[in-house]
Amino acid sequence: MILNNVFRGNSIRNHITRFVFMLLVCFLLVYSFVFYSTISVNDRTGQMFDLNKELSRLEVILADSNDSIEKYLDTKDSDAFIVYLDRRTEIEAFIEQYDTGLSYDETELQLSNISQMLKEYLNEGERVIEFKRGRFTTEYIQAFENTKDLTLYIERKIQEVSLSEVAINLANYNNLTESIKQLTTSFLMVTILLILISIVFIYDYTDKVIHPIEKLSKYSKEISEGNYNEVAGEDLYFDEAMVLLDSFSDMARSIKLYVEEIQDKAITENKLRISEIKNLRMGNIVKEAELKALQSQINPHFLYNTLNAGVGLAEVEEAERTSDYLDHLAMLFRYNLKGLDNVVTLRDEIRNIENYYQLMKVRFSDGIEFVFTLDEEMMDLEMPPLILQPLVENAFIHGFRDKASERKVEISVIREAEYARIEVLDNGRGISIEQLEMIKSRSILDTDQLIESHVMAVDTEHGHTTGLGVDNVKSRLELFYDSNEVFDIESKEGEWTKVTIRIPIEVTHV
Amino acid sequence: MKSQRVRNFQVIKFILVMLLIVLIGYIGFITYQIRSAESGSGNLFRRIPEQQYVVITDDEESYAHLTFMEGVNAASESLNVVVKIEPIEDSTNEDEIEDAFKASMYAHVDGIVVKLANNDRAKASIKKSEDRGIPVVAVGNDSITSERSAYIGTNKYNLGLSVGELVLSDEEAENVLIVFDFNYTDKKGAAANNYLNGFLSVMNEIDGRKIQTLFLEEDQRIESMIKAVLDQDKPDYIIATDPINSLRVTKALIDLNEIGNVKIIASSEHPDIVNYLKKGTIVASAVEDFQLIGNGAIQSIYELGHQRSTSAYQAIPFEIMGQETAGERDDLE
Repeated sequence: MILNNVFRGNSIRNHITRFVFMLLVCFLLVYSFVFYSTISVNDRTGQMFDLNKELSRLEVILADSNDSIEKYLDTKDSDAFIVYLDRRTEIEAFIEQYDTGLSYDETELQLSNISQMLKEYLNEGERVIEFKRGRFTTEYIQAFENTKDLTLYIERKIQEVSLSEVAINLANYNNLTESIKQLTTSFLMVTILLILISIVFIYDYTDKVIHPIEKLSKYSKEISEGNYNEVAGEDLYFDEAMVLLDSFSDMARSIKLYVEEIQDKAITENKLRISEIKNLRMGNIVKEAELKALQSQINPHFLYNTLNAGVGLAEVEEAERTSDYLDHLAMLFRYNLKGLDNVVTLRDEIRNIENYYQLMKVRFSDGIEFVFTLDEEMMDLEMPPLILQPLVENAFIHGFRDKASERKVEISVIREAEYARIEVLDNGRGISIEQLEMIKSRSILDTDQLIESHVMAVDTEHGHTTGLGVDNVKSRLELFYDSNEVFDIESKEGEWTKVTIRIPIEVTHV
Repeated sequence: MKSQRVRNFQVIKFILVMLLIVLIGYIGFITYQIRSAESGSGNLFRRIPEQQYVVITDDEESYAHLTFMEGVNAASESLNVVVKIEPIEDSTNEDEIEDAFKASMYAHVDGIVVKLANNDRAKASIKKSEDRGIPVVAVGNDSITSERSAYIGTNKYNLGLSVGELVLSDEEAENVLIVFDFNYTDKKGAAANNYLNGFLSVMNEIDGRKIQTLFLEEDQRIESMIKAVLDQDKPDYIIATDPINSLRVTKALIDLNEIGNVKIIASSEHPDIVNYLKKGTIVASAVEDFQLIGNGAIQSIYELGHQRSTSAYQAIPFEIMGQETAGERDDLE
């Protein structure tokens, strides 16, 4: 199990263990070969001249044997006979050792031949002794001559073998020396190669260990810079590095999620706060406007009821125009009394302007003209109340201040893609550029202008039925539609003033 | 970039590991060699020869001998026998010949091949060997009185006769020189006598032709003698009875610019001789098949060594190769 892990695992430890193991095996293998070769060479060198020594010894033995036979023949000395027997035993031992039979090997063949000659020699020697014991003088002399003759051939053969063996041994020695030289060179090369391999492997391993750390450092930096991109999956060679990278990737993912969560929460809270501020501001504007209205018109219900009584009286006295006038005035008051926090339709607004127009016609005789261009489909769009009346009143209060005739107000409602475009155009004296810029630049949605806008929301000038100025209208529209592009005012000083209101057809008001 | 570096590393590592494996293998091989030399384990499946024969010869260097040994070695390889050469330094020294025989007998060899210039010189030793039960095969020239078991070789009489017939066919051939090398120098040797007898049986001096013989001693070289021979009595034909002298005569005549004036009949199918034949430098060559003789000698002695009968006289066919037949040698090769 442990071995299986070591040989198959992909951890740094397993890699290093495997590498060291392979290195050791290589060294062990090479050292074993060299060690074994050294022992073999030593043995071989030791044995190299063994045969020569044995052959030299054999020559001595033969000479000794012949001497002992001769001595025995001369004196019949038992000691000489014993010496002969000893030499005979030694010769037999030689034969036993070296007679390996026929061979294609030159030395072995020669040794076999020597052994055969030695056997012949021993036979002749035996015959010499037997003839001597039988007192067959001629025969033992002949047999002894034969042994001597044989000795000569054996010695000649021994010389041949010795010379040949020396030559062979020298050749073998040269071969061995050459082999040892090759072995030494190869061993040196293997050692260098193993060192080179170690360097390459260590460099490679180091690179493979450092690479993930570099990678992780890079990712850490990216994370610290707020870049939570996921770490690309790649093979980092070692298990540890992969685990580290996976953990790091998980951590980065978690941080990213957490930061996103916090950001979402912050955005939501911010939106909520802005919404609360807007609502608060809207409430303030409305309340302040209503307060202003209450301050300027002490008892509008009383006035409204009284106007209705006037209408009744005019009808009784058959004063029809008076009755109509009072009726329009009553409807205007009634509309004004509805409060600013309601939602009305564009149709309600237009009707209110028509009432206002009727009143203005009575007041300013025939020098006034209202032109309505209305898209009936747009008339049911919802919008905040008392938007158009302050604009028209503005024309009468400011625009027509110095104009006694040909006072014209054009009110148009046109569909424009997803919007209803409402224009209030008067041919009054217009607004100066500075004033126009000031009106345009103010926005209730601009946090920095909240306080200022708040102050400007209520018209402080006299003359407005509603007590509401252009700023108030603009502010309420922006708040209602949550857009600072809903209101626009243009003017050419001395010629005209045009207020454009763009309200979305799909109303989404705050 | 990174992956390229990784690939480079892989290649370097692969090469280094391969080198390491090769080197370790090489070290293993050297170790095995050393060990084999020590124990002889390299010959684990070596064959053990069935019998041992000795070739007693006074010729160890000639082309004829080398070709003969090719046949001997081929036969001994196929029959699983070991053959040892017992060289004779002086072929006229009968004691040396006897020593060689005795050494072989004492060594209990299974057969003896005797190939001397004159095998009759080994007559007594051959007889002793036969008496001890060691069969002897005479090669090249016979020694009938020696009681040798068998003879194998070219019939020199027929060879001389064939060469004589070839010369006879040239009507302009009036003066012929026959050169015998030192292997023929023993005039008592059967080889030279048989050859001459064969030659003279078809061509003699009766018709006014002149036949000269030159017996070279071992230390004599034909090159030094040829000019004197040419100056003294220029022959129409020079017949060389051995390959080496054939080449020497040819080269000497080329140097003397006598090719064409003196025609050469060479001996053997030595590649240089075949080449000269093709060029027309040599008119013919008497080719004895020494390889077949060597092969036959071992085959015969093997049969005898196994107590099987064999022909006591085996004449190996010879061939007179002319210019037209020399080309066929290439086709055969």
